[in-house]
Amino acid sequence: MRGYSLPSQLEGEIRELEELIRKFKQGEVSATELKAHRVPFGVYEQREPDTYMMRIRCAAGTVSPSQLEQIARIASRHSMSDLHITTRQELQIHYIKLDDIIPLIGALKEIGLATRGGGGNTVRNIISEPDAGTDPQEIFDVSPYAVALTTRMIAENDSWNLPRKFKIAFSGSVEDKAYATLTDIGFIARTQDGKKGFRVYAAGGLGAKSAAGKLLLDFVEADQVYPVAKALKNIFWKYGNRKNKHAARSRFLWNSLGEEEFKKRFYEEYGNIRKEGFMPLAIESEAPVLEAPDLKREEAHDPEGFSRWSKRYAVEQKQKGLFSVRIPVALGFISRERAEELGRFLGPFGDDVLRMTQDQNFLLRNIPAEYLGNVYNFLTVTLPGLDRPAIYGRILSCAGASTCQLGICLSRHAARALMRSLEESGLDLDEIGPIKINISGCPNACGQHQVGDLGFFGKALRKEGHVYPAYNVLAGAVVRDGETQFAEQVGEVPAKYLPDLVKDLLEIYLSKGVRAKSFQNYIRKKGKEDLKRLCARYEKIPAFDEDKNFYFDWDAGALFSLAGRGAGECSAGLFDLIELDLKNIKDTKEKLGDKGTDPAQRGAFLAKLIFYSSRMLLITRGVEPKSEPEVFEAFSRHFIETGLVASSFKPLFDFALRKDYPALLAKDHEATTLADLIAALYASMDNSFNFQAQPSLSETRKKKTVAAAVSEKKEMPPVTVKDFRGVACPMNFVKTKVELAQLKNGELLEIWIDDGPPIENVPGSVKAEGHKIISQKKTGGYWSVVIKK
Amino acid sequence: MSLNDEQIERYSRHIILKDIGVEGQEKILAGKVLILGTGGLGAPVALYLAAAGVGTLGLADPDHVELSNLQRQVIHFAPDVGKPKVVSASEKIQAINPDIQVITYQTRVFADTIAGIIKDYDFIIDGTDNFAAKFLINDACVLGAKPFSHGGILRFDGQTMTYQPGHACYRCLFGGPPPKGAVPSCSQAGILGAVAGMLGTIQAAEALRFLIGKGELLTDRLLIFNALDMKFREVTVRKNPRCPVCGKNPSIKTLVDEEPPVCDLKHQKRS
Repeated sequence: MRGYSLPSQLEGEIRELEELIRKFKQGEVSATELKAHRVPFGVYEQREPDTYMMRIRCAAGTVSPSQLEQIARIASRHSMSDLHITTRQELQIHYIKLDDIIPLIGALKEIGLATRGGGGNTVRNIISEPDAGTDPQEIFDVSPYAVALTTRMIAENDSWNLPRKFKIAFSGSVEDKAYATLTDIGFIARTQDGKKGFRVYAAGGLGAKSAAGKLLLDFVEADQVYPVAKALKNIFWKYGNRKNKHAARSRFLWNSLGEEEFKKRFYEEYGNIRKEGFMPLAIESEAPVLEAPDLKREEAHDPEGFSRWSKRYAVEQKQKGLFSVRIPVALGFISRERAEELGRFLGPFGDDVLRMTQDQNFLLRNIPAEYLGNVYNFLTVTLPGLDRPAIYGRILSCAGASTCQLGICLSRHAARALMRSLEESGLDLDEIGPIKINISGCPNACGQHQVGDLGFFGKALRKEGHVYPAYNVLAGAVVRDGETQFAEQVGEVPAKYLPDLVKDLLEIYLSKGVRAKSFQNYIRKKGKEDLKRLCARYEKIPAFDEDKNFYFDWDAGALFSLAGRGAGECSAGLFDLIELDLKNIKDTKEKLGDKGTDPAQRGAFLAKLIFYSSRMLLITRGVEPKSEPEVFEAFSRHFIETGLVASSFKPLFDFALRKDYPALLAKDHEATTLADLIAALYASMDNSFNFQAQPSLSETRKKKTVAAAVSEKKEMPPVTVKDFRGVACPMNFVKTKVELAQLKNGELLEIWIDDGPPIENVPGSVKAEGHKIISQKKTGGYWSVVIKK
Repeated sequence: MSLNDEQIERYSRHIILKDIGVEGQEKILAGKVLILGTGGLGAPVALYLAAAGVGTLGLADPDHVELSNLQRQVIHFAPDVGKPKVVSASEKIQAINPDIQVITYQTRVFADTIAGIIKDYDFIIDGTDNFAAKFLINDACVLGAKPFSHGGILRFDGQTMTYQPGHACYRCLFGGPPPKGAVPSCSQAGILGAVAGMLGTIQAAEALRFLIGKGELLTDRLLIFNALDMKFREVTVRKNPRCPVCGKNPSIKTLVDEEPPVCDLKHQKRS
């Protein structure tokens, strides 16, 4: 099968990026501006500064052996890292320096590959199931459609500035192995009246708010793939939410428009495209004639190992005499040297011989039976460990908190710990059969936890004031045309017990669950109950002073903490902690409201209420104090001194610290008001942890008590105006600080600053100092920013 | 005091810092720091404090610049050999930052003079190279209730702590000078030049943080590092109730000179 073709404008786009990088280095464009162009080019910054990673578009999850060999060589010239196989069947190069980005993109272009659309709000890699074209069960080979649609869409300029990322997948049968029922556009092959075509799903996707795709078209003929995809892209482009990236994927558009309106607009677009006329995709014909490889046949040098290996990894294709062979690549990492050798070895087998899989392994195809010995001999030397049971290649994890800015738990380390635990378990792992164990470090779905037979996603729990890493436990997903359902949450487990939990469950399955015929059958029925019992068994961890191990994540050098985690897409771990205190507050209030509560205890409950209220939102300010005095101190600093909460609450902290219950009882009204106020602040908090001061003011004004508590803005104090136009960063910020230093708390300062880096940086820096931005608006060529000290 | 435009620009990278800001920089400009010894430790301390804008810097050192000093005493340059160290250092400070007022004392500190010198300063840096001076400085600062930064370096090792009134002092930790000959001096044992720079810049940072009143100083803790393996550790120091100078029944109530070791032959010959 041929790969996708590069569009003619790619060269120009690369030159544009090159120019931007040059300007960035000279300080002429900001990091934000560069990022806006770099990310859609598949270039992300890693956690380490000035270090980038690059994602290569691999349509249908394929590269040719010579491309693999070249990628490894190119990577070696510019990076020290392993290659990485992604869960969307791409190859990634890590640890790239800024200066190497353009040479790398250029070199990849020379071998027919693009990174454009590797990230950002673009048409992402278009995939098909890795065994498309070889699976005896498939209706027809869908991979040529993925490739041809790629060629078409990457030549269209509107593919690069969509409201959010846009993913397309092709499955060859109802088994839906490419997760077509879980993507923005999913095509599932079927035939009707002897004609080839597809069932089309739309508006699905995995993420913090996952949704299965909705059936859009029961059948369209195969030549309609392009107009259907184009129409869906168009309505996303036109109507998608560009303001809030957290509610922008096409599944949110479906929800906001409703099914009827979504379909109406789709048919409108689809009709227009058909009316205007379109070029059908150029689909390569199936089953190309294969020549025998120009290679001397080898016998396996270890017949016993070979037989075990071929049982585990080699599967006969629908083409008789040809085999597919899985190569388990632990967590998707393969060294450049090995990748290069693999590419070189596969060369004689033809161009269409390699796929990347969604569980981050390689799948070879079109290997004649009589050459399996060659493959075995090669692999045992080059990729040792490959004769391990297949389950090791089926544990999937996202990068987790080790490199991802959003991560909560170190999911990849947990996956490795699980592998170690299975290795030592003595279980007959081959007996388990195919299984998907998917681990995400946070609620975002990069580890695809919602579609695992067993799924885990990271969260933070707290015991006696100490935070520890844990996972929510999910089980029993079904991905299949018309039946797709996400894994159901059955419990939670401390991170340190995750390997034990899985090992114990597999042991139960092997001892009595095998009658269910497959792990999938078992887990959907009896297995969930077993898993719940195991979660209960592993629920408790030792106190911090008894055994600190549980408060460290896997292979982590420092105590687990969420402090300083960015205001990223996924702050969900933080929300776990907030919700916990919200519940504490609710419970405490209930006890206070209970007439039967001993008056002597009411004071203690009030102290608790004040403590929970003060602690609840501190995590959003990046602090995680443990003791009571620290909590009150931090609360004063971050909420009272910043004007979010009135200082009249401060005496409560002294009473609580001194356990002066009579004083608290006299102030019980203030204590409950504080709790209400914190809840109102939380309700007004946006995704970047900013509190919408205005709405919360008006909202709380309705309740008299709360209104009195919020520092009211009665009349606007006088505004000092300073013109810092023409003052470059960071001097404009410095001068702003100098001006602010002369103001009293609560006074206003209006500054005028230039567009570009000044407006991108100064307000954020001012905010970080604890001041409030009242407004910022553009007038003429500059910005007016009003700051409240 | 309000900052002029040149000062705002010069100190902009301080002002940007949330913990310094305009207020903190004004405190630095109003600050007075005495640096005892302008050798390996005093050199980086003086350079950084001058650059930071510490308004008044006192320098005390009896010695002249020697060729063997240049390996680590980075405030002195080759043409300065033979010049009094306080003069050489003062010239560099003025070159970096003309705002700074420099007061020089070309003398060793003695029991009968030290109290008069330290009384005008907010913070004292011990950059001396002998135990007699170190204990004298400690006792004078304890009795005069002055905060000071102790610093000591030898070969690849460095140690530093910061005394603040009411907390553990240098004598709480060590009691008194070691017996003569038990510890070699720098000129006998040698010193990696960069170690002086590492420790001196820590002392400078202590002085600055003392002036701005932010962060935890090295009070009640001794920071020790070994630059051969580049390992840092901290020892918690407790106020010793039996300390001869700051304990409950102190035996040292007035300052006395202890005989400094004769450690620098070249210097002896010349004087």
